[in-house]
Amino acid sequence: MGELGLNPTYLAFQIVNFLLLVFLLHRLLYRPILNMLDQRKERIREGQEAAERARTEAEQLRAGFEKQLEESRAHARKILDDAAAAAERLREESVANARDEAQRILDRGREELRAEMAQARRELRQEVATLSVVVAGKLIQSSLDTEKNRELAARLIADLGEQS
Amino acid sequence: MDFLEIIGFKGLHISLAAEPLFHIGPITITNTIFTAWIVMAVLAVVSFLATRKMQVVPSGLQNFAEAVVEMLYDLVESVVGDRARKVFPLIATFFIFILVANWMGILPGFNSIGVWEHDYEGHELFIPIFRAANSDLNMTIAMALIAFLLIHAGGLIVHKPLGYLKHLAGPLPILILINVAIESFVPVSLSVRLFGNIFAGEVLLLVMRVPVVGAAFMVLEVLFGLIQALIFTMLTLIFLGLAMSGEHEHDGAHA
Repeated sequence: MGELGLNPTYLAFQIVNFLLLVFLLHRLLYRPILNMLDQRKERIREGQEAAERARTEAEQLRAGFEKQLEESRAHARKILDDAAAAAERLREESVANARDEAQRILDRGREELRAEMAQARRELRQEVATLSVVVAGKLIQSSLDTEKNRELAARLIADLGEQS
Repeated sequence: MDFLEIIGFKGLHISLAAEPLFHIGPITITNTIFTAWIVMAVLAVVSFLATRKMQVVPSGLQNFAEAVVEMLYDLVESVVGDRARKVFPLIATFFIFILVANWMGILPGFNSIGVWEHDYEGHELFIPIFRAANSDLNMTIAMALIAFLLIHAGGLIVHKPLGYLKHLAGPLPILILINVAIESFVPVSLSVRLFGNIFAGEVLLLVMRVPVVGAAFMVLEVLFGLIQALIFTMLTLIFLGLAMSGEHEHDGAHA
């Protein structure tokens, strides 16, 4: 035993030494690192879950946006259609208005023309009657009753007018 | 007895027993205990530095320490499963301590830095200050005893005392004698194997102190140091796994 160096005291000493080392390494190395590994595992799991959640959320958002976009497109199309229809209506209205206006102007022109023609005719008739009396008076040089003559002349001119 | 003189190396000296260095009160400190302390101090300091500022994204020393711990933990878990957390500190410390102590023993200065003393017969004796911790049977037996207790404590806790007795008695009750004998020799073989390899390595390096050749043997010793650490740890782990295994087959099989 002596030559092999076996010694119960040393043996006990080394057992205590080793157990002390186990304790030290447990405190300083194993526990912190195993805790860290667990923590990291947990973090990775959380990260994956968060990523999955974010993906689903993004998917939902995308669907929402697409729906909105489609709605906006339809809305825009409707606005365009409405505007085109309104413009068409406006055009037709203005064309009709213009036509009416032109017609009215034409009518009024015609009316005025007619009135003026009647006026002119009336004036001409009086002028002719007066002139006829003057001419007739001068021609026959007689003192005829001017009033009677004018009546006579007017009848004559009316006859002439009806004939013309 | 001078081991090296017997095999023809006069002047060289290495004894099977660890040499006493100094005394603390009633306790004599040998050079192997001293070296074991150095190993412990180195491991404690490195561990402290590695885990001082733990970061979720590891770098440098923390990364290395995590790699080692995770590798060992996976190994333990692959054998004992859910109970890995309980036995891991002991198993991992077996590996780390034996490996670091073995590799430290290869360093220059081990077995070569020392003092000359006179023994009680007046002979000059060379006392190396540094000597590989596992080249002392006290160290290896200490660890083998702890391993032995761990193995059977594990078996007792998993199977309960009566169940463990049945476990030892399987598959035939008469085999309990053989099983107990086998179990008893586990720590003997563990301790003597480790001691023999490391002691032989020391002697080898001492004898082969020749340039180039010595370096080649040092490379071999690095390999042996790792292999011995693995063997001790794996055998302890496997025997522990065996002692704790088969907890369900006893329920009905041994009616």
